[in-house]
Amino acid sequence: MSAYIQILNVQKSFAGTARQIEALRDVNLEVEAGEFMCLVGPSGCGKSTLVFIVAGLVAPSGGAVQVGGAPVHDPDPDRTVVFQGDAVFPWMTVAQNIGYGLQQTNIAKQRKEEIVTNLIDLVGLGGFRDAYPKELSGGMKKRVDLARAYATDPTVLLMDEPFGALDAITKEKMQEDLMRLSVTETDKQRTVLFVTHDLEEAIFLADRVAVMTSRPGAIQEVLDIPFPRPREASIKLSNEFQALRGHIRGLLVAEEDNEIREG
Amino acid sequence: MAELPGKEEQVQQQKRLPGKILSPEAIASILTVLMVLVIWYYLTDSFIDKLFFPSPMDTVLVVGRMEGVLVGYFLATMYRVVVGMLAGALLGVLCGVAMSWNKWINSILDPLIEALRPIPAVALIPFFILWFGIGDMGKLILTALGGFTVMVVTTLEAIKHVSPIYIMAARTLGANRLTIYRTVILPAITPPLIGGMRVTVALSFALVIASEFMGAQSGLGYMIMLARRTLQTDAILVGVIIIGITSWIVDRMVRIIGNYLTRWAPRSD
Repeated sequence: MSAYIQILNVQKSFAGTARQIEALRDVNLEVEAGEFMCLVGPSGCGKSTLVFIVAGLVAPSGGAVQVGGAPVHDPDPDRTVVFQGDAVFPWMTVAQNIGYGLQQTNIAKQRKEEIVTNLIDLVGLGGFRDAYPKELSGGMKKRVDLARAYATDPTVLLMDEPFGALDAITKEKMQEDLMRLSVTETDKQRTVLFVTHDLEEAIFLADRVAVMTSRPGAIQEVLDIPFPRPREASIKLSNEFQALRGHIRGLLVAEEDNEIREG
Repeated sequence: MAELPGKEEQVQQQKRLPGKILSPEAIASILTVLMVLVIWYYLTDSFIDKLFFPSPMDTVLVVGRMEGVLVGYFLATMYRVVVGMLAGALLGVLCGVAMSWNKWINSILDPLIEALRPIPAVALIPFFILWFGIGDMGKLILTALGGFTVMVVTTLEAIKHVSPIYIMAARTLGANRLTIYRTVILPAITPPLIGGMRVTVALSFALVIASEFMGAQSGLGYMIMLARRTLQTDAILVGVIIIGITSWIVDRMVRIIGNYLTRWAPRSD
């Protein structure tokens, strides 16, 4: 059995203003079905680019990505994305936003309604079904975004620093909600690739953490996170958690130093 | 207990306030209008010859005298403004969307629009009279041309500025290109299109009046031109006032419809 997401020798270069910029160099990574994988790395190492390539939004310059054995060329509602920025459509209500992906399918209208209602309840936006995003806080909008990505019941969920713009308390709450979701029956099957630069977030959420090098990005090390699910926020204070954090931090600091010396 | 009566007074005042129709700011605005009327009356009554500017009374009286013709001329002008403006704007938006949809359509139409854009449409009026005569057709096409140019440029610019994150999100959720245009691009460009539409309203009035000046047999512009020849300043002023009020009302309507269509958008006012 091969891994569900296979990233094989992926390379990506962009045409910069002065010269060609090499963003990714020979990235190899395998994510098992149902696994929660976090991707951390120095800023500008191409984490987001890698996720966009897996999403099918960006074509790699070299190498290939396979999901469920099929090569990735285009975006697919079976691989939804939660973006770092605010991607909730401001001209649609909460319910319309969450149902957007379902609207593109042939699912019966009544079933669509059920799914949307369930998700609205699940993310705790019960009273805001017909509200426009301008009436919501940043955290609430992120919940809409999350629910929208879940609505098509994708096998792969891609998250590009989804909580990066939230305040610390909201962020922690969102992480706990995500943890709660990840142990439900349907979600145990779901494969998640989650980009973050927050090491605590990565260790708290992930089954495995992949650490990238600085640009051009490549996978430096993949670590197992041994804590059983569901996890409580209190594990962040445990010695084992802090030891993992220290180890990853060491890897990243060494990378930053390298970059300064070489750059 | 000495403060009690004072408090009661305050409560009474607060109760009275919502019942008041006019705020102090509104009263100030009304005073300005009254002042202008008074000065106007005084000046035309004493210093200014009617040959140069009519008095308020003359202006009111001429409306009564001309009532029948006035309604006909007003309707002729409004027909040209509304039909020309809507046809031009619709065509402009459709063209802009088509140009962003397909690079070939863009390459073919872009030089034509770029050639047309810097020419003030009024400069073309002599040609239009030559080609279409002094009836409605030439005025409608001229007005449509003006609205088209404004709206095609507004549409192209607006589409260029739609945030890519919305398009990416729609793509990952399974939307095809047509769906993205319908559900993402069209709503996203509505606020700037409303702005373009307001410019189009003002431009359309200007174009219709100007083309009525230069050759027409009906319309408010025609009426103003006739009145100038016979030195009837009161009729000129009535024409100007009617154009001003109607243009304001049409603009207001565009704003109300626009506010409804963009009720989702965060506003600073």
